[in-house]
Amino acid sequence: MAAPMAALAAGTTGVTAQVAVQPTVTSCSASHGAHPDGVISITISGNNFIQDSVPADGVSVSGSGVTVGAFTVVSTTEITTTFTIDATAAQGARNVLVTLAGQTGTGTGVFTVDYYITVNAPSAVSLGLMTVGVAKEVSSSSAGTVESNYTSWAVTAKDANQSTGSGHMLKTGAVALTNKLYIGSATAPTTTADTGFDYTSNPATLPFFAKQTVLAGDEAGSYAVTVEFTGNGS
Amino acid sequence: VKKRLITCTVLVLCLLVVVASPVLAGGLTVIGGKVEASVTPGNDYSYAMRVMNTSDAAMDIGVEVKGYGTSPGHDFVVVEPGADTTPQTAKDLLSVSPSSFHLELGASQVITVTAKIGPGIGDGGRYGAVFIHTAPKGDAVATVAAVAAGVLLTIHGSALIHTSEITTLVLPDGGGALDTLVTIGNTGNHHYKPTVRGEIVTEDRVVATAVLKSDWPMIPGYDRQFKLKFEPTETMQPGRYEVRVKVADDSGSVVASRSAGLELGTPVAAVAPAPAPLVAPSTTLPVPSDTLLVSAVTPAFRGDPNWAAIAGGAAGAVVLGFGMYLFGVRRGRGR
Repeated sequence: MAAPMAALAAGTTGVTAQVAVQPTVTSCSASHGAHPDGVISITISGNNFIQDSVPADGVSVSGSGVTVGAFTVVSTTEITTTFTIDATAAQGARNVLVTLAGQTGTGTGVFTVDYYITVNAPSAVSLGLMTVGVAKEVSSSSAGTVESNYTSWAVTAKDANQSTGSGHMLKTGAVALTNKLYIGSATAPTTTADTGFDYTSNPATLPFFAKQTVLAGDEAGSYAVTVEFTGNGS
Repeated sequence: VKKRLITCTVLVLCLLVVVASPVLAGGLTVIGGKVEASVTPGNDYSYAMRVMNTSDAAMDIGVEVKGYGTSPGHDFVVVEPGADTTPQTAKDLLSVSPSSFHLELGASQVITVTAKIGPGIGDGGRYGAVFIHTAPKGDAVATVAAVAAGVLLTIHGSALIHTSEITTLVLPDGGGALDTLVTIGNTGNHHYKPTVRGEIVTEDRVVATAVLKSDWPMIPGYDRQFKLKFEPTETMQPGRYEVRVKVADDSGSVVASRSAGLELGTPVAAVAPAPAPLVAPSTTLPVPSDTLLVSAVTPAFRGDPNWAAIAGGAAGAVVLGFGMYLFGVRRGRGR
């Protein structure tokens, strides 16, 4: 591959030496990425990219949490490689550094790690047949999960219905059970579904418990409620 | 004997596969789900968020613009449009496209959030939430996964007012701990991340302090509640004290303060000084302060194998396999 080298005449002996020129990095084909993207194929654009066998040659990303894969110098202006972003890599702009033949070029802020959040709601629960006056408590057979690189995150669990009848299990015609549904992340939940509660920081799993009591005056029938698990971060 | 050995080896390998199978993370993923920007009146702005289906089934997704608020019990509240009545609401400025779509397993969709900033919009900040949710699953107590992406817009060149009020100060009840509940309302027109400092004073001498710095913003028109955990620097004897609380914004300016008398009935012991906090390494870039700190969150890496379980399982499997092999050899010899 042709490489831009500066040829230096060494006096009158006729011996020449090659001196590498510092590479420059101008951009990345993907300027943003996040952990859920998995392995991201990247083309780095710049100048003075040369193939060299010096062990110190390489591509790196500033800060922590971005792993760079094997790279190939495609031409003097292009290098291909991959970036893989850790789950906890902090959001923000990063520098991309290319070292070739002992010379390093830096692309300042040419790649940005984005915020992300993944929310997997706990499984739905069924209360089955209820007996008047007897509280029934059930839990999700599979807890939800959350994963994020926000500085702080929370997942709020509450009734998706925030208007009339909020917090109550409803049946057709908006008939509500007298008692509100209680929800929580542990046994004996004490928060009504309309108020809800937050999962914060650890643990990153979302166990879910629901408790309901049917009273003598409640109509027979099938009642339902939808609980939202809303992730947000700052 | 050789046949039994092969059979045992196969069984052991099967057991290892069961033990080593990782539990995969999954669900609704939103990338770039936060907008914090300065906007100039008379301009339109577009912001992109990516929604990914990282669950184990196809998803129907809905996207709505709602309000962004807080409450004493929640650092982020998605406010229904009808209840979002503060002067700083962004609900009439924001729109999203598409508002609904279907995502196959592993697929992704870019959502464009558009903010139309009129020429006479006024001062301060404007706040909204882009609410992205799946369809309900289940019938009795159904569940929905959702993400609320905060939108915090600052009107460039306008007067930003950082004022607040400490609406309630619930003092310790004398049970030994000195926990104090502080409810703060943002009475200004712009958000800030608060630092709440408290001190307990007697005869002009500070005998206990507490500091709490929040990563979550105070949104104008809404309240939040903080618990200050006072740590006495000396044993506090029964008597009368004064509790002083100050709230500062990001720049350190005090935006609210309040004090109240505290009658202590029982002594409270001094707390030993805590070790110096670790300082997170800085990056090479001038990035916002909240990104310089190593996140305190330790997400579950449910996609990664649990190496301790694998090692334990492998050891157990080897012991089991060896035991089965010996059992087979002895049975073979007994014949």
